[in-house]
Amino acid sequence: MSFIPHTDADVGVMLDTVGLDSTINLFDSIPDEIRLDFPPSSGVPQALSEPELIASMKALAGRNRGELVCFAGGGAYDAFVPAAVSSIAAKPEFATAYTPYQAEVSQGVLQALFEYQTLICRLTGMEVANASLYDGATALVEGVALAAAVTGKSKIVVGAGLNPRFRQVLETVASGHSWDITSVPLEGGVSAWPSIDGDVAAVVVQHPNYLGCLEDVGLVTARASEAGALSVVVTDPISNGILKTPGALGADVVVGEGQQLGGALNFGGPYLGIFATKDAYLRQVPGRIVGETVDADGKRAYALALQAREQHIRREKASSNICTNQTLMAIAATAALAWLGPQGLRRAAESSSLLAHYLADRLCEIPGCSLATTAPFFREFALKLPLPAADVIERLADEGFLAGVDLTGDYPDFGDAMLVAVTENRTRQQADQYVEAMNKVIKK
Amino acid sequence: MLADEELDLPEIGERDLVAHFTRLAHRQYSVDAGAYPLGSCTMKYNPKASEAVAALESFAAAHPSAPDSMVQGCLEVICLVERAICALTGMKRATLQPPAGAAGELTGLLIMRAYHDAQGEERSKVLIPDSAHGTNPASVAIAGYETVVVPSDLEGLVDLGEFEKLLDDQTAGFMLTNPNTLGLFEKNIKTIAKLVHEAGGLLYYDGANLNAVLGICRPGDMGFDIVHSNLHKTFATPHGGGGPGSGPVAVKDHLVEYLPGPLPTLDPATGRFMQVQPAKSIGRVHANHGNFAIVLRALAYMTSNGPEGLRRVAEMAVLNARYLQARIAGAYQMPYTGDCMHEFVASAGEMRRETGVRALDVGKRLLDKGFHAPTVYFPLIVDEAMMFEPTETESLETIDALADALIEIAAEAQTDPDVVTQSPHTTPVRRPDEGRVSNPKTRRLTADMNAGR
Repeated sequence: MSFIPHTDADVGVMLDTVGLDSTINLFDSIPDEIRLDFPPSSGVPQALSEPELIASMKALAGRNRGELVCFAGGGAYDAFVPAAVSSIAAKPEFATAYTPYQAEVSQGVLQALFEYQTLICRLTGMEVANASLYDGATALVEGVALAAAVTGKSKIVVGAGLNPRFRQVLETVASGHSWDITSVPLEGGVSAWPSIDGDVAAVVVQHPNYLGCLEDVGLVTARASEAGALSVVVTDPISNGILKTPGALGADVVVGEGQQLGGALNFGGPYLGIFATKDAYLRQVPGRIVGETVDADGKRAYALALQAREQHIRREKASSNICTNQTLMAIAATAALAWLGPQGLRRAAESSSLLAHYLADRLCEIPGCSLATTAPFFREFALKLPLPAADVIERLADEGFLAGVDLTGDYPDFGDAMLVAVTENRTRQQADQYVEAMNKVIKK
Repeated sequence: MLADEELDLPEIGERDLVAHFTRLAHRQYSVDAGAYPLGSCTMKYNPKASEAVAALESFAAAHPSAPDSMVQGCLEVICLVERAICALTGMKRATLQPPAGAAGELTGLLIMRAYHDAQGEERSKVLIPDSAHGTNPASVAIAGYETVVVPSDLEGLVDLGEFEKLLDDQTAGFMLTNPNTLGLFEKNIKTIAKLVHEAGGLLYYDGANLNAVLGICRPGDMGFDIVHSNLHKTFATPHGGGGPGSGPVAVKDHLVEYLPGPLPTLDPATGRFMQVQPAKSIGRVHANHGNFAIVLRALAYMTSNGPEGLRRVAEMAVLNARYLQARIAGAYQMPYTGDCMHEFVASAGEMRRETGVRALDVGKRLLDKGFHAPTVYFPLIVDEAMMFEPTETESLETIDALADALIEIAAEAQTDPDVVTQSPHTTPVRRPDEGRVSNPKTRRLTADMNAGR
């Protein structure tokens, strides 16, 4: 199926106007030696009509194991997405626009992003937020880059409770920056924070951490501050419905994965990189920022702010290379936060935390199962298993569950263990069925 | 550790929430609303069938950390798009992790760095042309390299003489868009490739303009070693108001071992898809598998078109640009005379000197006439630049209407310049004062949503 509207007659008229005989002459400036006579066919899918396309893609989708009740998390959550939020995020006016360079015809996206920034500030307890980054991991990298730029130092101290995949992305980008990354080991599931040296640029703490445990964020931010380093707190937006915000705990930079705010799992993307910091660092903030202003008639208007930081103006001296961000996800997050409201967010945090603790207690009654951590946790926990985690996950799939995320590779000290997450989408009944299924699998 | 008080979030019913965003949508131009000739952004129509595919529950509900055995469909999608990208660009393997074009650039540059490191070489600089996108030098800096700018010649192409002078044993590589940002094909590309390779450097293809040559010629055959493409441009995934995008990076054989891992791969022995770590991988560039739902839409688009259809895309993209240029050539200066590909750059320099009307004003006036503005003031080497990329999905009628509007504006500039410099007149707001853009923090939001403004 083609999306080209031209008739043969149209093409004839146009070729006449530009003085060419054939469409092939459009490419006369390309040297013959690299011109293809035919388009590459091997490797490119053959054309299908729309019904054939849908059927073929449904068949592909069918090769996933669908219909599993999801207890897996680890940075990607089966969050409840209200229908109103899906409907707002699907609006073609938002979905098919691009970056709001022309403010006069982009007030919709600009105002929505301004509202997003406002809500992120309130959610994190910070003073400024940008209009989104790609995902939690890339937001973390940008947070560390800001700290390195502000402090002029290059040592990065990272708690071992950081999402291991965030850590890997940080290490990849560090190779261009000559950042020196050191780890703080875990004790009981939380980082055992040492005193911070004077040559440290950033101290990175995830709270709740990858294992679900609550870190002592106040201690980390105080120690970072004493040492002249910046604290970078990786937040979980839902947890802020019940926990003190990172800002209230003294964070200099707050980053996080915002997928839970109105986003589907989508096999890992597109997600939403949350980025917020203090007013003092506004000029080092990466990516787009929207601000409020007035127009030529004195009416309230929104426009991209502080563009002099950005790559299209400042080129190699820009605060980051970001151009396209995750606007549509940011709009969904804005709608999701407004839909929840303060009580809704609190309820989501409380109910899932209660259910997670109930589930953990019940699972730990099963012989051979125990918590791998001792610190208080939010709504995700590391469970030691009497069998290899991969086997447990495969077998629980036969019982209708995606049981968790295998921790064996990332946290070998735990032995056989997996990470179990409970979102506001899970019910007590599902938790009970999960326990029953686990019992069955382990007794086999 | 527990919060003392509730967060200050909006308290608003669903009905008012939906009304609020519906009003915002009414204040927003989009591709679905009309032509969007924003140069270098390839704002083509985004097929609705691709949205239907992305909504399929078994894709949308797939967890990124599920065992490979449970996500064979997702892994196959990634491998199918990888194969198609490699076939269309003439490359060996590709990663779909980079979530945007600039992220693809950084990935490519880190591959370049890893390659030179493995040869035991420390190279310090990356060359880019003076017509390059702003992301190029910004990515070069983040990858730890120094940017060296190569001037363009009078034709608007890489100045070969200057290029040779700047190329040396410190050159890690050369980043080039082809066709370049003036919409001109770098016809000396084989010579450029030979020179870069003789100097021990790598040639990097910025795929922003891949739409122009889809199925016509391939960066791999031109001599490029690393290619990033933009699925949100060439493969018609929606731009989302500024993202999400997707910026796959494809490489030739000698760079495959440096690609980010894990790399979804078909195991021919079992017929199953698995995830493989390339031997000298630069590591992850995304926490998961990149913007999968965008990759999925790209697959739907590729499958809708097929090989012949994709070639037709390039043909009609170039014909539309060439035709629009011909239609308005009498009204605007064309600083470069070479045959344009999918986009061209006009100048309002003379118009400004004669009438005071600038490129910015032409763009604003175009908003009044129902079109989006072109990209203005880019590339930097053209005075009062206006970069038009109509894309292949606009009909002859639309291109004619756009040309008529531009010709009218040029006439207005002569007869009534104020109507142009004071424009737009019909939009919800007019010329927001960018000098007065506030501190992005405010406390007004809740009231706004409740009052429904």
